[in-house]
Order: sequence, then C-alpha cells, then structure tokens
Amino acid sequence: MRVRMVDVSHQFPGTGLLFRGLSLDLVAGDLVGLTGPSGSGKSTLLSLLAGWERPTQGQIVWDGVGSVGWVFQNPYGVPGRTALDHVALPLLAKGSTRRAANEKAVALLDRFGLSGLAERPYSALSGGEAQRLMLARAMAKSPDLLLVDEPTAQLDPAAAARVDDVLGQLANSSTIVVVATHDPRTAAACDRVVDLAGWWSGVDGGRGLRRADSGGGSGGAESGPGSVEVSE
Amino acid sequence: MKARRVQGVGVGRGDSPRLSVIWTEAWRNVTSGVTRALLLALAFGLAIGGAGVAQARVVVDFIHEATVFRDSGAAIQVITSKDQIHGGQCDGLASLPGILASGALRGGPDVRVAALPSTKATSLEVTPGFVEMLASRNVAKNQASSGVWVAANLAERAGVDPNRTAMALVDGSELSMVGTYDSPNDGRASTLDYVIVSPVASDALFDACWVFAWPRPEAALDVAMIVVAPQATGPGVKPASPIITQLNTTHGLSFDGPVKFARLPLWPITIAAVAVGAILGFTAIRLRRLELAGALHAGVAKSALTLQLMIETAVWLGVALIPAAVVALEAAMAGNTDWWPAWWPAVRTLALAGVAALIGTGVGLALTRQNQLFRYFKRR
Repeated sequence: MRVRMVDVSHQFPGTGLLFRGLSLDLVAGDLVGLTGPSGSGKSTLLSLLAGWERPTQGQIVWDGVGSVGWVFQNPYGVPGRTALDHVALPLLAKGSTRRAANEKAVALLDRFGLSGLAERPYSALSGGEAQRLMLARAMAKSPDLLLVDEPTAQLDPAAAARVDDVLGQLANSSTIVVVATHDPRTAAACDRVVDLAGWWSGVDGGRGLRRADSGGGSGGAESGPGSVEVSE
Repeated sequence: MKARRVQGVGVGRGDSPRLSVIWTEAWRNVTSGVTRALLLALAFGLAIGGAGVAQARVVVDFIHEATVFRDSGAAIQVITSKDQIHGGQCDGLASLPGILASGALRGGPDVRVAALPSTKATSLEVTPGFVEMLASRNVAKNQASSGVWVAANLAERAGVDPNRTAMALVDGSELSMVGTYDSPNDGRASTLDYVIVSPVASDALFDACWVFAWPRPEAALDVAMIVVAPQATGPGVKPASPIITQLNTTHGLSFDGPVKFARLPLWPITIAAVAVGAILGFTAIRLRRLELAGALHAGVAKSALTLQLMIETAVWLGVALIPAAVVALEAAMAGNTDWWPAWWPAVRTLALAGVAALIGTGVGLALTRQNQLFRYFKRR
C-alpha cells in the first residue's frame, strides 16, 4: 500500500499558488506530520491526499488504498448519541451484528483511553475525549490512509498530550497516518515530519520553489528540486 | 497532469448494515433527539394541519352555500302553462337522472276554515309527486294516512294542531288532514303560503310543474317541454308557451356546483402544503449534513442511510399527520353532516405533503456527499 505525490502543484481559483512541485512518498506504517503556518496548505494537502480535491498540476497515485479516514480539527460527533454509538457505526456499516460491533468498539475505546465512557453521550465528552473518540471512530473503519487535521489545536496541554500519545500508537500500523499540526509536541509524536513552512506560494515561476531554511537534513524519501523538506 | 486514482480511494467497501441495524439506528436517532422529530412534527403538524383545516372549512362553506341554495327552493324550476301541464309526465320527471323530485299543481276551490270564517283559504290540487316533494321538507305529519297538507302559517293562524287528523270547516264538515308543512319567508315565491294542499290523481292537466333538480338545477330546463301536454298543441290550437321561473332567486339564478367547486382555492393550499413538506424534509437533512456526510465517510452505504432517514422522517410525519387528520376531520364535521367531501381534500393534502417531505428527505441526502465533508466542516 502506497501513496505517491509526484510534482504536485495546487492553487485555488483567484488565490496564489499554495505549493508547486511537491513530491511525497507514503507507505503503510508511516506516521507523517505536516507542519507549517496557517495558510501554508496543510489542510489542502490532506484534501488532495484524500482525493477530495484535485491538484492543479501533478500526479497523485494511490496504490492499494481502499479507504480513507478523516479526523478534523474540531470533533463533529452527534450530540445525542453515545461514544459507543460513534465507534460502532463504521463496524455496523460493514454488516457486523450490533453485539460484534459493540465488542470491537469497546476495545477501540479502551485503546484510545476512553474506557468507561462508552455510554456517555457525545455532548458530555470533553474536547480531548471527543477528539480521541473521533480517532477511535476513524480507526474503526480500518482505513488504509488516516488524515488528521490539527487534532490538538483546540485542546489544553494535558488533553493534547493524551491525543499525542494515541497518535504515537498508530505508528507502524497497517495504516498510513498523516497529521497536519502546528503543535511541535504533536509533530514530535510522528516518525517523520514534512515542514511546509519553506514552501512559498509565489507566482514567480520556478523561483517560488525553495527549500526550507532548516538545519535538518534532507534524508526523506524524496530529494532534489521541488521536493519537500523532510526531517527524521 | 491530473490526479490518477489507482483504486477507489475514499470509497466504502460496499458492505451494507443489516436491516435490523438500520431500524435501530433510525429509532435511536429519533429517541435521542438527533432527528429533531418533535420539533419537525410540531412544525409540520401546525403548517400542514392548518392547511388541512383551511381546506376542510373552504369545502364546508361551499357545502353550506350549496345547501342554502338547494333548501331555499332555488333549485326548483317552475314550468307554468295553465291547464297544459300533464301531471303524470311531470311526476315522471323525478325518475330522470339529476332530478330529485317533481310534481304538478293547479288551483283548487277556496276553503273556509271554521277558525277563520271570514277568510277564504286558497287550496291547491297537487299530484302525488308534488306531495312527495313537499313531504321531503320540513313537515309535521300526524297519524292520518290521507288528507290535505296545511301550510304551517295558516295552521298557526287558524289555531290548528298539526297532530289533529281533521280540520273543521265553516260548513260544519271536516277536512281530513295529514299534517302541516313549512313555507319559510326566505325569498321564495309565496305559492305555498297560507294554502291547503290537496293530493289528487296525476292523470290530468295542471297549471304548473315544479322540478327539483340537483346538483344541476338547470337540468330542469332540458326537460321542460316534456311536461307540456301534447294534446294542447296541434292544428288550430295555439302552441303551448310555458313560462319557466325559479322558485327562489334570492341566492342567484343558478348554482353551478362543479364550476364553483373547481374555483375553490384547494389546489393552491395543497401546493403550498406540499412545498412546506418538501422544504421541511429537505431542511431537516441539510441541518444534519455534516453528521450524514460523516456517516457516509464512516462507510455507511447511501442506500442504507436513505432507508434510515426515510424511517426517521416517517416517524415525525406519523406523529404530525395523525392528529392533523383528526383536527381536519373535526373541521370537516363542524356544522356539516356531509363531512367526507370536506375531509377528503384535507386528507389528500396531508398525504401529498407527507410524500413531499419524504422526497425532500431523499433529495437532501442525495445532495449530501462524502467528499463535501471537509467543506461542511469548514462551514459549520
């Protein structure tokens, strides 16, 4: 299972170029952080990886990727339904019996630090609990590619730390996990970090592509002009 | 170069939830408030129930107008041709479609009632068909099997008890009396006021034929010439030239029921109700688009989600439609015995609005797409 972005550029109508010539190679088990300031294109890159946006230029190849999971910056659960309902839904959708779905859902809730909250309504969960619930729900779908957008942006440090712990557990799984984040602690939980800060959205031709001025090496899977800065 | 999709990225694996799961998910959404069933039922019930009540009352008013027209004698056409109306033919008209009753009359001898010795009461000789027409109206009948009918106002002035089977005359004899009839002062011709009506055989010539045609009063005009006796026309004999008048013109010369009914604002109300139903069904889904796109993203098949939402919509529709139909029935029955024609348009409207709500639900979900999840999220 593999996702390859080759020489991808993207620009929304009426706006400047977000990035140009971006190349990236992701394989199963990767836990990749996308960092960069607001407007650098992190969420857009997630949309491109999900296939929900088409790049203005370039190629994205999904090889063996059957399903994609999304976790947004703010959880978007259903207030009247329980935590268990949320995690069981993807399992029920696959045709599981309710008993089997609930058993697996409880296991996932345990794995994501939500033991004892199965019957709690979504509306009664804290921000951190809700975010971990969204991760559990996304993983219940057993996605091949999990895209997580700013999972700790709205959380206090303690809650963010628990989410980071959960994210850290996803490394080396059978899923490709890409996490867009501002938070250095979340980025630190990832096994690779792609820093979009150095990728300038310019309109001046090839000069718009410049390497981030960071001290890290360029030992990622890609290198050369148009590639992204990768630090291990 | 555009993105190339090697496999169906973002697409579910095609499995479907079990029917029992779909049902319980729908029910849990209803009971947990996710569906907003009570709010939607209330909004739908008030709007569509109001439309149903409005339609029922429109029809009830129409029925009332028609009833007043009919019962005031406005639906009775009087074909007058002195001594040229064949009684049998006139009575026979009642067997024709659209003619409820018919009968002939002519002037009879004056009668002096013992209680009013100085007053000559007019009498009319009428055919059996006329008696039936009279007896179908507001009458007080006694035990007598035969005899005259006395106008209620004459009986009141003469102090005659309708329950008595005989009325004393000035010459000391008695007139057998069947009962009294009402001849209200509602604008109708005064032909039957202060009159004694005597039944006679119909195989004779009369002065006038009354034809009670409904719901097309003008149907009487189509058959008017039938009642003019054929022996009255022929060589050397002046052809009969009957005069046709309406017994009561207070409420207009005609009542074209089908045309009037077609002009009632029933369809505009129905269309408005259907629009409201569709908007409610659609809006209820659009308000949940993030949740529903999330469910699609979680792998729930769109067909399964459609069925689940239809169940949820059907629940709040049922909660709203049953009381709305009952209230519309109450409106149709208030001051009206002929309730079905008044209730039916309301029921039809309720049903169509319900179907529209289901269609709105379907359209709302059809426009909800998994790949819009990110956009819904940003716009929430």
